[in-house]
Amino acid sequence: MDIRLRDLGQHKILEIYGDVDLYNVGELKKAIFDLIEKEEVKSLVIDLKAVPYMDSSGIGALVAGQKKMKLRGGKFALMHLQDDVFTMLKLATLDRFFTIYESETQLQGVA
Amino acid sequence: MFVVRHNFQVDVKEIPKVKSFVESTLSNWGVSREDLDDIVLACDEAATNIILHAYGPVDEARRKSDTIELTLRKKRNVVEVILRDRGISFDMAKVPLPDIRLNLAGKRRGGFGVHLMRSLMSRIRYQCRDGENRTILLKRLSS
Repeated sequence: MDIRLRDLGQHKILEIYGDVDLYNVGELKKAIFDLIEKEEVKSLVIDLKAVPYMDSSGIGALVAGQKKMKLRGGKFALMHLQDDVFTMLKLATLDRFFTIYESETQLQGVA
Repeated sequence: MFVVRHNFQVDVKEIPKVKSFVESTLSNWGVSREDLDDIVLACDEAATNIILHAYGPVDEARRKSDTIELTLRKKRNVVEVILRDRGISFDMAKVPLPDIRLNLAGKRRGGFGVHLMRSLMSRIRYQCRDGENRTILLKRLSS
C-alpha cells in the first residue's frame, strides 16, 4: 500500500494506493490517526480512487477515523470510491454512514 | 468436480496470499468475475476472523506451528470453501448484525466481516469437532 498526502483548499486529502486488508490496514490506521493527532486538520478526505479492494479491516479503520475526527469537531469523508468498494460499504450498511464525494469538484463545492 | 487445497500460516501476512490463491484458482475454473470477487472477499473475511479471533489469544509458538487449511471445491454451479483451523472456537453464527451506533459508542467492535460473508455467500456454517474448527462457505454461482 502506498499513501500520499496533499492539500486541497481547507481539506487534507489522504490518497491510498492498493488493496486494503488485514495485512496492511495498520498503515492506513496509522496514517489517519497521525494526521488527526499531529496536525490541525479540519477536514480529512480519504481518496480511494486507487483502491480496488477493501475488506472489513479497512472498514474498521475508516469507522475509527471518522469517530476520532468527529470527536475533535472535524469533518471526515471518502472520495472516488470504486464500484466494488462502494458495494462492500453498502453490504456493510455503511454507505449512508460516511459522507462520500464522487469528485473534487463536488468536494470543493462544500463550504 | 474440481478440488484444491492449500495450507497458510496463521499470520496477517498470509491474507494477500489467501486472496491470490482463491482468485487464481476460481479464475482457472472459469468462475465469473462477479462471483469470484464475492468469494475472494468472503475467504479474506473468514481467514481474517480465524487469525484475529481463533488465534488472537493464542501464544506465538502455537500460532507458528498451526496452519489454516483452505479447500476450494467446485461441483456444477456451486463453489464450497472450507477453512480448517485448531484455534479457539469462534462461532460466526452467534455474531449479531453490525450496529454502527454501538461501534461508535465503543460498546462493540467490528461485526462487519461476518455480515459481509453472510451477504456475499449463499450459506455459511461453522463446526467445531475434536478441537478442529471448520468454517464452511457455499456460493451458488450466478452463471
